[in-house]
Amino acid sequence: MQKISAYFISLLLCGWIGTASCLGQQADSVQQKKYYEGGFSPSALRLGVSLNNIIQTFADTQGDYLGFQADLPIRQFMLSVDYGRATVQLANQQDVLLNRNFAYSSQGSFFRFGIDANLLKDKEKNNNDARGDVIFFGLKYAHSRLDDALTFTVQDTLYTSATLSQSNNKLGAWWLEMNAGVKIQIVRNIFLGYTLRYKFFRRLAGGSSLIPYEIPGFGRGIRENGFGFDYYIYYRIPFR
Amino acid sequence: MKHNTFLWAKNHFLLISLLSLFVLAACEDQASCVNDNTSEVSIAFYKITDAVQRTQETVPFLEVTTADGRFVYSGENVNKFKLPLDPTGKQVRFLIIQDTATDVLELTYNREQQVISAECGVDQRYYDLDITQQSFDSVEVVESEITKATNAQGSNVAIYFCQYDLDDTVKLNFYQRIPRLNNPPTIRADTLVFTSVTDDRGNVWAASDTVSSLRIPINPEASQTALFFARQLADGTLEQDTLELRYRTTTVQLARCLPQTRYDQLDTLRYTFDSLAFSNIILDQNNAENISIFY
Repeated sequence: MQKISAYFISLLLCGWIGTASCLGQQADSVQQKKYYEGGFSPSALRLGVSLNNIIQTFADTQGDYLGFQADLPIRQFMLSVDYGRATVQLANQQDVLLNRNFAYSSQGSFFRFGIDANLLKDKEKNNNDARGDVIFFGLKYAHSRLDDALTFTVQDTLYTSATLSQSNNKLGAWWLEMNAGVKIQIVRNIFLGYTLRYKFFRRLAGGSSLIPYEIPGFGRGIRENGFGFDYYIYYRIPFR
Repeated sequence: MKHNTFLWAKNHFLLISLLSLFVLAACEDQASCVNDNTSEVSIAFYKITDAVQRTQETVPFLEVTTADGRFVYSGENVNKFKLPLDPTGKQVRFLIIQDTATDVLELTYNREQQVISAECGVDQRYYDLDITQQSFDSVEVVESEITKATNAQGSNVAIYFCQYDLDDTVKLNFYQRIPRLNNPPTIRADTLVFTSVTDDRGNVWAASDTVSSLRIPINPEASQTALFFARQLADGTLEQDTLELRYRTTTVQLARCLPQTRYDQLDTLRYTFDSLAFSNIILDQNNAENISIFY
């Protein structure tokens, strides 16, 4: 199912990126020099909050999630920073004989930063200024730190049955991301946007034998790569 | 001015976004309770037949207990079996009992835990399997990751039985050649009475014995051995025969087995018998005969 969702989003984004590419071709044929107002100084600050994290927190009894994003548009680029927190609590006190009796909790935070490039060309201004609507692609470095603890009961006919505990204290995780998405101005200075992430090259540092159920900002701890998706609402603070 | 397609997408962005959210909500990853991890280590028996080959070995009777005597497994004609690891520990020790011997097998391993989901519970992965103590000829960890797939297709641990069949004994069989007119002679086993059979080191291998065959150790320190045969004939005269043998001494190291001394290229330097023939020039306890001696 995750692949299907990734495919769906890819189609959506590819459609728009294709549009941007068409626009680019039209502008290129004019061969005009691109002009960016304000040179290399940031033109605005966009602050966003992850809507799907909020929805997930209310819909899912297992966890609380919060995610923020900020970007500084500089010409066709955006310096982008994300920060978020996640708390997960899972338990099963029922199936003792099936070795499914356990309690797990984790809490942690993450940040990611990197650069996005706007692929959407404004034909009127003949540039890819990222302060307005953007279709972007970018690369990010991400880091997460979490504490988690697991208590579970093992029933065994040959060996001793026991309740075992494992925990991670300040477990570090880092990974790389390829991001693609859109940010569209719905009303003045209010933007909505998607970010589709391909997360890869995940590494853990300082852990015990307990694999975290969920790494904040990354997803399931057992995986070394995967897709992620965030849906943001942004407010833009223009600088000029 | 932006492209019409983009403007259409922008105008319907809220609608597209909501639709996408519904699709994504339906696509939430559901963990499966079925996975490949298991706490059962699969063990297979092999026989090492020569330096490069191994064949699966079947043990007629097998019983396994823990070191403190709790029953684990029992079976007949076993070539592969499974041993359970302790889900709360990192070391297990088993006694593996066969008809003729009881061996020890001590395994160590690491465990890793992960929560699959609230419904499926916790799963433990067993890995880094190693052998810390064993009393078989040889034991090898073939696959250190313990999975159901390994159990189904192969084994985690291979227990080897070595064949120590080489020896230092030359087997002599005595035959009588009976001539037949216009036909090849008839050959039959001969029974002889030796007053003595000695070697060049002074060892006596027969004294006033009636034999049809002799098994005589060669001199392991030299590359040749002389044997002296004395027997009383019917007319009372004493007949002396000599058999001087030479051979090559090499050391054979079969994989995972102890080194063995091999005596081969057996040949004669000198003999006084009527005739003789080599049937096998390697000294091996599986050979019934090395030299046929004809009187």
